[in-house]
Amino acid sequence: MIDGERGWLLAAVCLYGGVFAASLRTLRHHSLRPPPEAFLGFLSAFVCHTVFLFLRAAEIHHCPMTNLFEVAAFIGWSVALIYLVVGPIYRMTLLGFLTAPMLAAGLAVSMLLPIDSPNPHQFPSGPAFELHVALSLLAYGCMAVSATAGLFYLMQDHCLKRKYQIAWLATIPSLHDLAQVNRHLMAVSILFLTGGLVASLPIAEQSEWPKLLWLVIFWFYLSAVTAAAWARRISSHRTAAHCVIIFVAMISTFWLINSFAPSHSSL
Amino acid sequence: MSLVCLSLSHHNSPVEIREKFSFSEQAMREAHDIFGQISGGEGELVLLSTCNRIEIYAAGPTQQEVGAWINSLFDLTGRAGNMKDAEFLRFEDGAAVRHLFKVASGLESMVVGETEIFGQVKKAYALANGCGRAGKLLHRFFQTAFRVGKKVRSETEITRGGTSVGATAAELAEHIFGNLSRCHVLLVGASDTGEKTARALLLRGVSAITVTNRTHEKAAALASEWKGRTVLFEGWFAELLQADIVVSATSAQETILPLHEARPFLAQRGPRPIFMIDLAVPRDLDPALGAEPDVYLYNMDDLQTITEQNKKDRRQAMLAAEAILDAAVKDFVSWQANSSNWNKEKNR
Repeated sequence: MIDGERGWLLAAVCLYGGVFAASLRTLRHHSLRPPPEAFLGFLSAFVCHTVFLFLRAAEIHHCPMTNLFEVAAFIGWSVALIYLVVGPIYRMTLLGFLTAPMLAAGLAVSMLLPIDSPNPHQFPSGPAFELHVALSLLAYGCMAVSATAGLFYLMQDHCLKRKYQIAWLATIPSLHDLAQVNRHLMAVSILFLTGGLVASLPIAEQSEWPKLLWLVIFWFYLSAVTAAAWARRISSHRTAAHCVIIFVAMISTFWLINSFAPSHSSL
Repeated sequence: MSLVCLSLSHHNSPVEIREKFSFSEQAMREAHDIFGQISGGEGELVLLSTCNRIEIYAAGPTQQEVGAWINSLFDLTGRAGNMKDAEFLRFEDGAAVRHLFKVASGLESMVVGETEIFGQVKKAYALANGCGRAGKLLHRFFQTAFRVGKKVRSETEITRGGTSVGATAAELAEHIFGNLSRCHVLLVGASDTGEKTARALLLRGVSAITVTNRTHEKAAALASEWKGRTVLFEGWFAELLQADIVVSATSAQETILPLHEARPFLAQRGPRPIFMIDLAVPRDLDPALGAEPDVYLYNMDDLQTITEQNKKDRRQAMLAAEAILDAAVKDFVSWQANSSNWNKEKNR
């Protein structure tokens, strides 16, 4: 039996899955342009997804990020938000095409795994904490999309340099457009990450310094690459490679570094 | 109602014959009026006249009557005398339906999948409609053809990939730069191949072009036609700082841009991509340039290989397109049969 708020998330999963199925129909005809109803479907899925987060927050009287299931749902929500905000370049091509199945699969798996149990730990609460968590997760969502765009850039660039003819690559955006998407998403990531970092300062305990140091290192790395990319000091190729490296490094050390931070290890 | 289509195209007749049957817009209007008079207002007609095809789509109660009306039309528009030289292909009912669907989809075009014909068929239909000669049958016939044409183009790869070296180069440029309107093209050498490639790039939206050639007058002539500018051949390397796309097609017997000469300019450009198209044989641009960061170097062989692959892909796509046509023709023919039966019942 699925309770009320999980029902909303299940509806979102079905709708994301439906969007993917509708897009698959166009892929069968060698086109990655989703049918018009796919966008409406995605929008409805996003609404259900938002309702789930809202109801869960009301139930636990806390920002819904107290266990892995809620974190997965929130990261998924930020990716969906980026999908809707970034616009047609992103939506009509492979990046956008992959978003719906990624969300459907990710959320379905998180619903099936036994990770949605009430967390016994006492979480800090208050606006600063919730702002910190929300902004940080939005930043990770942006960085995930930016890394995907970076990966596509590197693939497209490799094929153009080596003169490989790969049919589906013809459907992803041009190098120029991918580089632009990358630059914008990196800038947005920094804004969110900075906000998350600033919001954490009043609530950070002394024992949290490894996590804080880790975050500050990535903040500097990301800022340096973003500034260089906007000032055209490094090539789009290098920018794309850095985007992928930053995201992979961040994700692969995320759980390890959290284990050293008392308020994060309870996740 | 019966449908008849007469077709004279690049497939079955040379331009010397086709031009004798072509219609100007005014002549088409007159022809529609004449056809209306000949058929006593009963016949339907759409005339398609392009540089590659002259086609007559007509509908009336029987094949014989429609055939007689078309003969009279040729007679009254002064074209009957040329009939002995022309080999019009004649399609009736289902075959005529299939033929128009193929034409609207670009399957009958000289360059398979080209999109210009779609607009030309639309214009021909609009003109006939304006003259009051497109009745119920031709209205449905052409509207269906437009839907089929769109479906074939969106659901198959019939339009994908350039089928000439110039179009392929322009397509690659779009993969690198996206919208080409921001791009600056440098044409080195005023050869025919280079000119065609530059034209293909201009067609895709390039707005700034610089031409250089050993004979400066040739460069000036091209530049003035394209509203571009010229630079002296002796100092063209400096243009590498501005150019996004370099098309080189000189008849030089040795490399005109060695790596060591290009490097200082590439370094000064900063991290900006540059697409170098070397159409010359022997090659103009040092092949080692291709390994430089942000340089995308393609020579004639590279472009020809891609073009051949594109042509092969389009031929494959024709099979998928035929499947769409089969279903659409079947639907239309069955609608036509039902509609005729219903009319007969009504008149009984």
